[in-house]
Amino acid sequence: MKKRDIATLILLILILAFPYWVYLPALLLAILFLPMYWEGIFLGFLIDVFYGARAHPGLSLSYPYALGVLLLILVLIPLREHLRFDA
Amino acid sequence: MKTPYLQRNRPDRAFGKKALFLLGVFIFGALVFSLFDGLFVRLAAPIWKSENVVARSAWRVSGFFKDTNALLQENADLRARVASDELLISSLRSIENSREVLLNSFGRSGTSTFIGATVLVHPPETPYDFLVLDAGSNYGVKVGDSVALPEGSKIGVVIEVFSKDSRAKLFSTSGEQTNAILERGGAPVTLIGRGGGAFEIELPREVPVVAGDRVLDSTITAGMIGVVRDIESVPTDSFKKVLVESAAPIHSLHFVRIVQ
Repeated sequence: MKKRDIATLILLILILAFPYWVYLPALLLAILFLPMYWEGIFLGFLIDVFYGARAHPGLSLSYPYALGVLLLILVLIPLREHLRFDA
Repeated sequence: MKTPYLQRNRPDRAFGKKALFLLGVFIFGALVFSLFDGLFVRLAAPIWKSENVVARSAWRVSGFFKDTNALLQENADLRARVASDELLISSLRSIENSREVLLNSFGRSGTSTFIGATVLVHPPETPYDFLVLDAGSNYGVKVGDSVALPEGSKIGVVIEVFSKDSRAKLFSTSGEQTNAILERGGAPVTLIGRGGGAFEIELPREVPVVAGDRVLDSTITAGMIGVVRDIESVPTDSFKKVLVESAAPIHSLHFVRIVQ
C-alpha cells in the first residue's frame, strides 16, 4: 500500500473518531508533506458533510473545508517547485 | 539536460494542468457530496454509535485503575450531591406543578410532544457547535424543530433532516443570536454564540448582573439557557460584556429531546 493511501486511511479514521483538533492538523500535515494531495479535497468534503451545515443545502459549492484544502494545494504547488527539497 | 531552474520564456503549463485537475476534483466532489450527503451520514452513523459504546466501556474500565481511597471519596461526594439534588428536585416539583396549573388556566399547556434521540456526534468531534442525532424523517423530525435537554431546557434547533438522522445547531454556535431574558431584573437580552458552549451579551453598564445569574428562554416556559460566568467591563465604556456558559454539557451529551 502506498504512503498516500495509508495517510488517507489514517485521516479517514481520525475524522470519524477523533476531535477536530486532531484531524484538522493531521490533514494540514498531510497536505504539506504529500505532493499534490488531491485526496485531501475529498476528506475536506467528508468533514463538511459530517460536521458542518451548508448555507445552501442541495447542489452547491458551499463546502468551506474542501475549498480550503483546494486553495492550500494550489498555493503549495508553485511553492514546492521553488523550494525544491529533492535533488 | 535537466536544469535546476526554469528556463526563460517557457511558460509553466504544468501548473495550469494541475490546477484544472484539482478544480475538476472539487466540482466532481461537490456534485457527489451534494447528492449523497444523507448516504454518507447514514454510513458513518453505525461507526459513531459503536464509538460511543466503546468510549463508555473504556471509561468504566478506567475506574478499575483508580486508587481505592480516591474512588471511595468520589463515591461519598457523589452520594451527598445526589441527596441534595433530590431534595431540590422534590421542592421544585411542587413549583413546576403550580406553574403547569397556571399555564393551563391561561390556555397554554406547558407540555408538548417530543422525540427522544441519541447524540451521535457532539463537539469537539465537530469543529462547530452542531449535533448529529439518530432520529430523522423516519420519526417525523422536521427542520425547525427545537432540540432540548432531557431536563427540558432548549439548546438548539434542527437544521437538516435525513431519512434516519438529523443535524441540529446549538444556540451557542459562533455568531448565532438568541433572544433571552436575564433572570435578575427580567431584562431582555440577545445572546451571541461564541462557540464551545459559550455566549456573550452586551449590556449597558448600569444593568445589574452578577456571576451565577441565570439566563432564561424568552418563551412562556422560561427554561434555563445558561449561567453568567464572568463580566468584563472597562470604566470608560458605557457597555459591559457578560460571558455566559451554556446549561447544556455539550461535550458529553448523550440524549436529547426533539420538541415538535
